[in-house]
Amino acid sequence: MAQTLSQLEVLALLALARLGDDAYGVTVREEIATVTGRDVSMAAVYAALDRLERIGLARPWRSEPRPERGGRARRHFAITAVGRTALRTERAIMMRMWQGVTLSDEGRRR
Amino acid sequence: MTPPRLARRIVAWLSPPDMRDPLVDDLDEAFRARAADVGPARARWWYRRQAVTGLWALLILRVRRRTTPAAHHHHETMHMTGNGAFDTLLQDFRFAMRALRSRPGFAAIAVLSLALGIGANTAVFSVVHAVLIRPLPYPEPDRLLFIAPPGPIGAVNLPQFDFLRRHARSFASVGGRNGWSDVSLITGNESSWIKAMPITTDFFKTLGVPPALGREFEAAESSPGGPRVLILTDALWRRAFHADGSVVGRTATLGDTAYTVVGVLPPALWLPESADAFYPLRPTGREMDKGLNTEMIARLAPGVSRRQADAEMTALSEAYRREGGEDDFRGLTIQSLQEDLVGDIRTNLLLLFGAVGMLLVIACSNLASLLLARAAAREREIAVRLALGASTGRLLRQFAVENGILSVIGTAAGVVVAYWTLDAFLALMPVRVPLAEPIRVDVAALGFAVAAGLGTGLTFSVVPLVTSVRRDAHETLRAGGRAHAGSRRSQRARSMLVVAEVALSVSLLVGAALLGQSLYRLHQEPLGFAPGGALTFWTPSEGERRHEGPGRWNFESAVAERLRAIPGVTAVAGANVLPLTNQMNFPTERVGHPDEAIGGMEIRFVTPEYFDVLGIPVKQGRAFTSRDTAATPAVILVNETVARRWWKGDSPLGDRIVIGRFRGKPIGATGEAPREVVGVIANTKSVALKAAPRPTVYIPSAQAPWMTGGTTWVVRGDLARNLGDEVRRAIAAIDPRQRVERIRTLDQIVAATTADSRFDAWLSGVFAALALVLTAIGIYGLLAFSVARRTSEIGTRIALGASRGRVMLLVVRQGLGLTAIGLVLGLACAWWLSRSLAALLFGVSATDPVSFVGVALLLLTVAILASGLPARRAARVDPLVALRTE
Repeated sequence: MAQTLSQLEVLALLALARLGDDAYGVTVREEIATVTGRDVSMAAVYAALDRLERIGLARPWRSEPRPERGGRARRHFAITAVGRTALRTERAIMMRMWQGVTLSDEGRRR
Repeated sequence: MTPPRLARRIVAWLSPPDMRDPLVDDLDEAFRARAADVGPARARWWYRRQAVTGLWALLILRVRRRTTPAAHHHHETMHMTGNGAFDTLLQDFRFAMRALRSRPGFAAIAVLSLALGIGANTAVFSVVHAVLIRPLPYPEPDRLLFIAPPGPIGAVNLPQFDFLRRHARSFASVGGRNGWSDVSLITGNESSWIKAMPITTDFFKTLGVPPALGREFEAAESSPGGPRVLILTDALWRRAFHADGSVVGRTATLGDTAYTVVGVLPPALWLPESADAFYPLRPTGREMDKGLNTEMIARLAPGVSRRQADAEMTALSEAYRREGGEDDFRGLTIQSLQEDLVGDIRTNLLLLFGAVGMLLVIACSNLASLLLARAAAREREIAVRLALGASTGRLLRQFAVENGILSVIGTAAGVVVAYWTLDAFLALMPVRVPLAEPIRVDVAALGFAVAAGLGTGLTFSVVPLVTSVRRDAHETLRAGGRAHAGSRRSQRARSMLVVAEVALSVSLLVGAALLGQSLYRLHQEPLGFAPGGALTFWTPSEGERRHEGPGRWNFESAVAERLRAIPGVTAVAGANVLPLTNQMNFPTERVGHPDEAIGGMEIRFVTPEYFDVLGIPVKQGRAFTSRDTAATPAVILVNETVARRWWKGDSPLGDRIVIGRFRGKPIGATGEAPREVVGVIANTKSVALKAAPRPTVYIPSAQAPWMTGGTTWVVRGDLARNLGDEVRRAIAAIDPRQRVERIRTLDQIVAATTADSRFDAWLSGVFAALALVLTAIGIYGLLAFSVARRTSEIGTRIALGASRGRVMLLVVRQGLGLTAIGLVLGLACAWWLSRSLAALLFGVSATDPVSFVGVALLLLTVAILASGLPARRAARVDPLVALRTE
């Protein structure tokens, strides 16, 4: 039985994939906010990253100590191999689900 | 340019420790970027929003963290099946809901049992708590005492009060009050009716509630001829004096006397049967000071125990008697003030509480029995799952969740039932107990009920599971659904529960039957008058409306004439006191027989039409006529009780009676001369429906110059019309300021006297009916389950030639066997318990055989019906199908 992911978790995982080495709380939140236009809270992003970490889809790592943080390191995240598989599955699910779907009001909106 | 401190602190406080620094640092970093971008004010606003919207995410995170073993940290392995405990719990919840939905009947019965048991209990306990347990709203309420002679009178006289005040050492202070009366209060040029109550000095000091403004009465003000002074309640002060802070020292006119205001009470003060204003209670030095009219309270002195006070009271009672106390002085006793206020309703409430407690036990037994049955039915499922490797803990948790859901829903429904029941209960409750705070569904009661409900649910879901889980799974699987040792044990437990249910139901039913019979007997009591189709009301005579002597008779004639002129009115009569409403007694003796004096002779003064209008027959001699006036010889009528007591079989006609004399001594200043007996009137109920008619004499209203207090009228006529309004108009036409009070029908008066018996009978009836239904469900459930279990056995019997009738008998016999045991236990229990009901019973003995036998028959019938359905199902078992399942 596959672990289901919430939408925010999928978005966060995608952000990790997009950001690569730059992925940490601030950038992940920014990425989601700019791309989707949704202003999610930092805490929600952290909760999502936490769960991704717990089920093995993401892995945390530490940056060099940062002077602007009082000598503390940033907590970065990287997507794992399993995470990539999970994203592929998510994409496949979405694609399958979208096949043959035409929304009646789509023409009007353009 | 710093982030908002509170928001930052909230985030830090809610974050798990390992996440705190990175999260807060990240937020700070984003904040700085934002501040550079859009300005510090908007950045701060953004930060605060982050804190608020992030709350939920952090809470969820923490719950999930707490319930997830931190095993997967920093591992790159994927555990697709390794759910955290939180997710498991959710899964258990979903599974449980599915399981419950698949057996809606079971769920409904379980929830209903709990809801009824918990609801009724919470409601009754709320009343018990508010009335019996909640302390009075005074400082150190447990040191407040009530002092009265033993018996129902509940009051002392002024000489007794004075004696105690002078000699008692156990009390820090004592106080007393008499009943209030209506007086007109005149302030400036406004006038209103208020209740004024005479109180002694130290009354409020004893309660522990000093006036908010001014002071209490001083000794000089409570002695004859002292200054006339007044204490106001906060409400009256606001209403009539516009909350004037300088009211102390001002003058107010009460009736026709000027009083000086000396104090105003605090707003929150609560007094049972309170008044609007208080004036000093003064001895008059006359015989009437010896009337038992003063309610006496006392506050225990510091360091003095109740027992010491009791001992002193016994000694002082003895001393008072030696010093020449009254002939009929029976001593004085101490009671806590709260006990006194609660009075008779205490017994009723405790009995109801007992009854409703039994109901809860029955409901919980039912639930327990259901859960046991369900657990037994799932033994196979459990065994299979254990064999497939499910952990015991997981199984236990899952069943606990399932039954937890049932308990929670049942409890929630119970709370709703409690609110409804309490409303109905209060509407029905006949006795208005004086309460400082209204009765509400109370938190303690809810806690109690919820604990009972959840406790039953969880206990009976976990205990049987533990035993079945412990057992060797092979055994259960091999048994293949047939009865074995474990399920027999569970069946035995359920049988015991059913026996207990039957026993408790029997007790409740016997109680209800006895109370029901009492109510029936009460309704069968001959009233001695015809209550139907008569309206009554009271015209008080007070203040400047006080009609005395000829004035009163003129007023009464005028009223009677006006009332008779109302279209639809056929007859009118007046009296000082109507049957079953009140009492008005005075010592009376037969001239020449001072030894046979009757101390509590009920005195009625009536207009000549009275006996006709109330339908009371004249047994001997004549009734009054309009020719019996102040100018004609003084006459009197006696009821049968008096006639029997004084004249035994002889005719009393022509003999003479004098009112206001007791054993040769004059009592009170009635100025009464002996009156000639001209007739004997049939008995009527006088003070209470439960009591025998009291000795009563009747005097013509026109010959009663010394009687005051107002007149109660009985008007016969067409009650369908709005007679009340017409009566008011008729009286206003004579005197616009004459009040008209207590408009009600004679039927209502009679109904009011049976209200408490009705309350007891109905409530115990409802509880007993509920108990019976629950017990029937219990019996049915047990047998239905047992039949389902024994399907193959029954099939074998039928295949071997047992008749359907025999099979049915087999099942019914099982049900009746249990019922019989429960019945015997229950009847014994009821026999023992019903003695506590004796005080509430009327015309029926507490061990009334009809009630006991009737209940036994009823229960057997119900048991046969409840066994019937499963028995029929057993009889219809198709042997082929039954044996194939083997």
